[in-house]
Amino acid sequence: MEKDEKEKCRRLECRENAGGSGQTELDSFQWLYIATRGIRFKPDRAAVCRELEAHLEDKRADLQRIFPDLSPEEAERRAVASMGDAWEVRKQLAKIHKPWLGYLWRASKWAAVVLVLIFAGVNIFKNDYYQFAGHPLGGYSSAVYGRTAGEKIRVGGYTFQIVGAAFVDYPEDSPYADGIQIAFRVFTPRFWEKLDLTALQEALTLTAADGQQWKMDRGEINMEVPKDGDMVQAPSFWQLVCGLERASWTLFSDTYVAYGDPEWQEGDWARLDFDFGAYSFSLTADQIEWVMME
Amino acid sequence: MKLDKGLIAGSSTMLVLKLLESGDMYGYQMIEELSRRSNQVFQMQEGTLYPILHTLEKGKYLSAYEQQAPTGRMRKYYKLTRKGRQLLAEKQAEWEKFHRGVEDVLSGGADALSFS
Amino acid sequence: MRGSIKAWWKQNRLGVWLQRKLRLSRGGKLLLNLAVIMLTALCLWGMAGYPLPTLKMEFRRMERTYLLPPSEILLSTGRITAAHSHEPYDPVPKVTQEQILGLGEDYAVTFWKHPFSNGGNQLVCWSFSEQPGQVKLAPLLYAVSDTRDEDWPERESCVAVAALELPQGTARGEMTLEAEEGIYQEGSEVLEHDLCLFAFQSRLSSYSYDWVQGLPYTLRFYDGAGELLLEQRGTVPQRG
Repeated sequence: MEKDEKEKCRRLECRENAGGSGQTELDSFQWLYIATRGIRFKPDRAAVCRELEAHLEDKRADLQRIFPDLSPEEAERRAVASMGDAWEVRKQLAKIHKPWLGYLWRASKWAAVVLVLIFAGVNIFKNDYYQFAGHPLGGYSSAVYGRTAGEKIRVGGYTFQIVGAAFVDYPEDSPYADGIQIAFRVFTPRFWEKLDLTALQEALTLTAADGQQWKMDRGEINMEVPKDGDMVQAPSFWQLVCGLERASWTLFSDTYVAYGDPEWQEGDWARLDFDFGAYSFSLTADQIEWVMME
Repeated sequence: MKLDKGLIAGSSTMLVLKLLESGDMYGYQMIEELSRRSNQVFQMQEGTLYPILHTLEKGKYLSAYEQQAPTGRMRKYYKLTRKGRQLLAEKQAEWEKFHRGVEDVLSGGADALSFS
Repeated sequence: MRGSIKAWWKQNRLGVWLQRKLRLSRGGKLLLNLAVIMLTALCLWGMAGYPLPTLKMEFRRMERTYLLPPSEILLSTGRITAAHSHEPYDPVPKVTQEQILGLGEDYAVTFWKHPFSNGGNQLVCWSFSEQPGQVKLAPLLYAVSDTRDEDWPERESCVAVAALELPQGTARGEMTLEAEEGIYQEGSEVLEHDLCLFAFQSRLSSYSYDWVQGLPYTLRFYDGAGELLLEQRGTVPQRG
């Protein structure tokens, strides 16, 4: 829009607001400007302006068709006159096209785009700071053998259940050590306060049928495996012989595996004893599955 | 002939809805059609048509879409929705009652006073 | 640039398909955006370790994840106005890392909030039944900043020990530690909730945050008139 055109319209507005005469001669541009000025949200204003502009053009073309010897200025004047009072239309349009939803939508659009970009950026660069908690939606680090579904105990908003009980038997010449693995799942709908791993380690003791016990706040590692000639293996390859580790997690649950190496016979049981500050309870795995590994 | 503005304004919504009953139209087309059907009696101020159309569109009585005209410009066409048809039926019924009432008064009928 | 993006979006096959499938009103689009915002914000909150707005909320949550009943909060982060035997220095130790000291039935808990990573928060339970003396100790986990030393006005070098279950009528206390490098002695007034807080500044240039734990100590408590109420010896409890 031309700056002086806008200025002309502004002066007209001032005159109208001051109570001056409303019957000034307007050209189509001025009429449109005044009529749509009440619509505060720009995209809406532009759309309405386009519609009204099309109407004015059609009117002008029609007039020139009906009265061929009409001058363009006269046609314009008559077209604008037929549109009616610009101020009246402005008031009505302003009442209909309120800007709030438009502003909200625009704000939500920007906020959504910004957040999605941050999320994508964080995922792409995988900053350590965010990795500390692990991806919230789920993850997996080791397998669960001897899947079963034990009884559930509900305590303090957390549900405990044994989900796996196996005696893992490796071949004689394998560097891996045999042992029992009792997997249990801790579930809570309150995904922002899952059970603390340190508290669990301090509270848990694994007891086997042969009477041996292992406290889960310490561990025993087999560093022999898997051997690759004389190469020293990285910690991620070590085998946990006694202790607790997290096998997998979802948004609402964590699955842990408790390891021990008892003298095992078929039909033996194993028991998890939990001793938290306020609560003490036990879960027993009666049927430990014998799993042969290749 | 120029009619009293008050008489037109009250029934404009109903007239617009009725026009669209027979097909989708754009703004200028409606003005022309209205004028033609009423034999030049209704020549409403064209600027005031659009507030009516937009109000109806916001109330979901009309839906709108854009189509390109032969002149190359985009035209906004309005279409009657089911809700709009219901409103038209209501308004028409209302109008019939009002019309009968007025007729009764004008013809000076005995039961004209019981116009409710 | 925005125009070209808009044009690309309109022509793109996926864009056209999406627009046709989701012919939403502006309100509908707004709700969709809000859903996207909520989902992304939730995911980001999760990836940051679910931080909570206040320290107290973090503490209560940690108690729940430890399956501990809620304890009474005795100390929370901020200025600790513990007067020291070394007067007339005005500056008093102030806690810089966010910590909370809570009192349970027969234990005390110290909670420390990791400054950057929510996953690094720590909670330690100091059981009273394992401590033989009348007065129970609970070492705070991390450093308290001490501004008493002239040469080093703002040095984070103190580790504090809280003494609970004091004898009746105690007005001030004194704690002596016997370390390899020498004897440390600190005094403390009785603070709110009937506890004394002794802040020890290590003389070694490198030390661990729990250097006071496991050291032999002597506690002395005096009443308002200066009479000795209780003398207690023992070993500062150790974590783990």
